[in-house]
Amino acid sequence: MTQLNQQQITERLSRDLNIQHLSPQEQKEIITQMSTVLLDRITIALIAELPQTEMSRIDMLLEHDQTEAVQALLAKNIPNSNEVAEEVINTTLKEFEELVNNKSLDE
Amino acid sequence: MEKINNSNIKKEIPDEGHGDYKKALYVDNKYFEILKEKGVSEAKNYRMRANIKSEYYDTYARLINEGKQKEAYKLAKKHAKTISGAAAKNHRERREGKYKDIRRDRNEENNTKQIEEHVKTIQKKQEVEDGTRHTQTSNNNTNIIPPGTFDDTLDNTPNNTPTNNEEVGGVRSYKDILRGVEEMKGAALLEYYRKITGEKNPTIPTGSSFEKLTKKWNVLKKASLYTIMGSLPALGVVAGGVLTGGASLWIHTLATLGGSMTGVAMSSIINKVGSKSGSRLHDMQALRGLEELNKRLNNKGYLPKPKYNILHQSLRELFGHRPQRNRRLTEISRGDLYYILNSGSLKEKKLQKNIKLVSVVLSLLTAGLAHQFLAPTDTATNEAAPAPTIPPHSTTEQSIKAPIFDGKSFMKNITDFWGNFFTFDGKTMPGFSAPHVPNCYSPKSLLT
Repeated sequence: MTQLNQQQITERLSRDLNIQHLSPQEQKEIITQMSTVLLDRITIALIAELPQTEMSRIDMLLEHDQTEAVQALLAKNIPNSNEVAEEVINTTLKEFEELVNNKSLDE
Repeated sequence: MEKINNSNIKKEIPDEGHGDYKKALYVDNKYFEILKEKGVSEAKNYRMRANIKSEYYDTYARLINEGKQKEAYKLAKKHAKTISGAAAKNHRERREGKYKDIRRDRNEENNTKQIEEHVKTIQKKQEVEDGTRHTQTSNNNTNIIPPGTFDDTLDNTPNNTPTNNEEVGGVRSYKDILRGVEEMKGAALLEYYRKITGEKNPTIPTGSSFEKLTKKWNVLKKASLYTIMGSLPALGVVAGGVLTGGASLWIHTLATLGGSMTGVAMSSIINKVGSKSGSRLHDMQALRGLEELNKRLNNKGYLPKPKYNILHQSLRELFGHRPQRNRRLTEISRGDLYYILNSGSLKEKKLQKNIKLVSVVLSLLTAGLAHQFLAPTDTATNEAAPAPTIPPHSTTEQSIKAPIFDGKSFMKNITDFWGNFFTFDGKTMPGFSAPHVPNCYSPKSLLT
């Protein structure tokens, strides 16, 4: 049976991000920050798939805090949302990999 | 000498309800405090009056106040409470300085550890700053996740290959990485605003309009998270399955770290369970599934009475105890799941019951969640997803509709439904699949 605990998840993600040289707190912080980046980017990627006409509807629903309706609208218009999400995740992690391993930020 | 009265004596000893041992420890501590501050005479005096039995408080106080100290001491000595053996030992050891040594040793050990860790951290940072390759490769990490617990073949995350780093060069320091991540964050809000306004270079509003925009953006993020979680097949894990790869792991993490799936309550449950039960992820997933189920069954957070009764009876019959009335489903299940998932050392009979209960919980989860998370959703109406259609073979539906709960037939139905998932003998658990349930993930993976 799969038994991944929080610690293991963190370790796994740290390995993915190649940030094992950092302290646990630092790793956690980076993972949290990366989660934010990912969710932001996924959200942008999803709405980029939407036609402009749907955006105004979504905006109206968001105005009234209709999360489920927005979700339904997204699901209806973007049937391949999982692929979109995976692509964003993969691209972002690649970008992160470059950030960690290679290019100096000061250059 | 200060005047002693009954209430003074009562103040000097701990509250009622403490055991003799705790009282004796309290008196011991106080004795040492007084010894330090006022000398041995006062300290002994304190211990004498603190140990006197309560029915003699008044007499003792009166004698002291009348200046008849000798008589008072005699009384105290005669009617002192017996200090328990453990407390007496504690007192003796403390007097001999044993605890002081233990404390000192412990402190020294901690200090040494801290210094060692600090040196290691500095060395690591130095290596990073010097551009030295950090050579912690995946070989080191194979111990982190036990073999077979994670299906790496399904992991399509491209950067899950730390060995590539060797070709690339040094790794960045925390500060640099954080700065880079900050830059990666970019202007998501601006992008969103650009999209809703349709302008290429819109000016982000300020003041209350900005707050409104931020709020909408956050709701949108939540909705997008729900959307991707709902559509990713791997998110069958909500019902206690397997994380299949890097992407789904990240999405799971988004939900967990962000706490955005079911809000603060869920985060706290996950944390609570995580800290208490050895942090097994499937506990969390199952709990999360139960939360979702509960939410969908009843928006108020409570099960309707008939459904509650069925669950209640099932738990009672199968688990051997009766959950308290009016407890939330999640509370029952939290406790029971905690018990089940930590029941490795239980006797076979109990384990058998637990296995049965797991199957009940899983069948409930499947009925409640399969449609929401796994079956195609009709969103044509732009409304929230319609009420799930229970699969024809779902025992949950049959149970819920049944006016009188029949434990035996319930279990038979579960057996029919779940096939050989559990053999109910508590020993063997062959694989399972439920081909008759459309789009149902196979909990077979649960057992691998």
